Amino acid sequence: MPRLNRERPHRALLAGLALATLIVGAPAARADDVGSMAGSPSGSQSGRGLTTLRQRGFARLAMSNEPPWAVIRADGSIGGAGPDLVRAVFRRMGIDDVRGVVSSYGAMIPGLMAGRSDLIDSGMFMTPGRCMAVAYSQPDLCDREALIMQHKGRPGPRSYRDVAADPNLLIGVPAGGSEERLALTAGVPPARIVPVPDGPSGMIMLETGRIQIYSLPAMSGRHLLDLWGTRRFDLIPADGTPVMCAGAAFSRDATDLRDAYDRALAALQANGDYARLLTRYGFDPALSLHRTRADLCAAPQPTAGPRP
Amino acid sequence: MTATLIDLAVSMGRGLAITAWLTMGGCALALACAFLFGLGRVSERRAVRAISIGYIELFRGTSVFVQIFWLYYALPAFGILLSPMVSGIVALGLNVGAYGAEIVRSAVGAVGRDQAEASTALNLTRWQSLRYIILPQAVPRMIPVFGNNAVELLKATAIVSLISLSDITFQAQQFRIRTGQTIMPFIVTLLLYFMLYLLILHGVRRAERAYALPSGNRPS
Repeated sequence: MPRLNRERPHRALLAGLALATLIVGAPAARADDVGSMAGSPSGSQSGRGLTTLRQRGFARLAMSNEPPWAVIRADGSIGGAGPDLVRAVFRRMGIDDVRGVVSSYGAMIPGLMAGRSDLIDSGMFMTPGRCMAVAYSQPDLCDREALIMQHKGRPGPRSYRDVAADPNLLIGVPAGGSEERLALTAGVPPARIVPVPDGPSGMIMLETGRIQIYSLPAMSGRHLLDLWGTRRFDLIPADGTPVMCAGAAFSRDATDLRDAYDRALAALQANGDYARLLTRYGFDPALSLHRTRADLCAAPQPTAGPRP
Repeated sequence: MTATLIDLAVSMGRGLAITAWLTMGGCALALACAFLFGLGRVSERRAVRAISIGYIELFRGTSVFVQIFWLYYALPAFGILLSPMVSGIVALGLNVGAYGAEIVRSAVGAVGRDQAEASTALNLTRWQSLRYIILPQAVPRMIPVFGNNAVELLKATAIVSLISLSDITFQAQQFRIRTGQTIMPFIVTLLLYFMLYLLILHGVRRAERAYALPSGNRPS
């Protein structure tokens, strides 16, 4: 039997206390570190206003991997039309560094509200519901809805209404996207609407016949066809759907930052940098020309959150 | 092709580091919680028992998915902003620690009452009896079950993509979205998780040997 001595209980108590402090205290200490680095944790105006960002020297951009809207490269760096535009706008505002906060699509708005990021730009379309949750910039990237289907050599459905008319068709929609609402409005029964987690999964579902139609924004569809090959699949614009526009989304209490962003964005649109950047990614800069946040946020169209 | 393979190797390597840190940190915290609250559950003091039972039932009874969401997205509303890695480790550690606490309690309970009574007869303090009589017999029973929990924790790390941590699973998804390839990233993912599992298994075997009672003293 090991030797017993009377100091042991005392030491055990100390060790226990130390452990308890570690468990309770360590996260709190870390929180303070992060808090002081990243601004006020509660996401108050002072924490994410323009002055704070200038002092901090960088902006935290929430995005998910949605090429070509927003792209996360293998080395962790960020690109895509949205983040590149954000970088250009912020440079004009005197903030040279934009750091990506990579997350899943559905976690971007909760992250913004929890003070995890300063803005979102990941092809998140403006809808009345989202306009209530976040403060959008003026529209930057616009697109139309499209349908992808296997190439059959004969005419297929051209609109959500056509899909509704054929009881044999299952339509895949991005989970949580505006396409579901469009399909429902056109009369497709919910039982024939299949949520799709991401682009590659949607293409595999098309290939294996789990769905016959995959609906998503045209730019996302074009990217998928570049990877999968255009011979086996057709991409057609969905007839009778509105143009949807994304914008940079800020916290509702950071409207000063949003307004400064709008002014810098307008300057880039005026000097042609905006059009050059969008064209490089294949986006049509003319689509956003006569569209405003006020119109898009008031639109009675899709209330469910769309995905790019 | 080569560029794609390099892309895959680089991104999966980055994911592996995140998953490994989460697993190690989570296991360390889970082990600490298991002993702290598992022994607290059999304490003589009512308050300690109540706190321990509260912790165990709260974290066993709600899903780790909800817990991690709470830590990362809801706590900032109360002024506590944990970094993603700390949120992940705390959520996984507290969750698995609650299961571990029940293992500690049952293993301690499985040591015969006669052992505790003999300790009392020898005039050992409660702490001495626990440290030198009860735990040496209880710990060998805990280790295989702890191993199980560690493996479960490893696989639960895949939920951290929710809080913007790029672990193995998240990196595989990003690779799919970048390249459109599905089979290759998931073969690599499978192999990486299995490799990590083998490492845990190896550690558990070593711990089993290290804490084994001398033959003849094995608990029946």
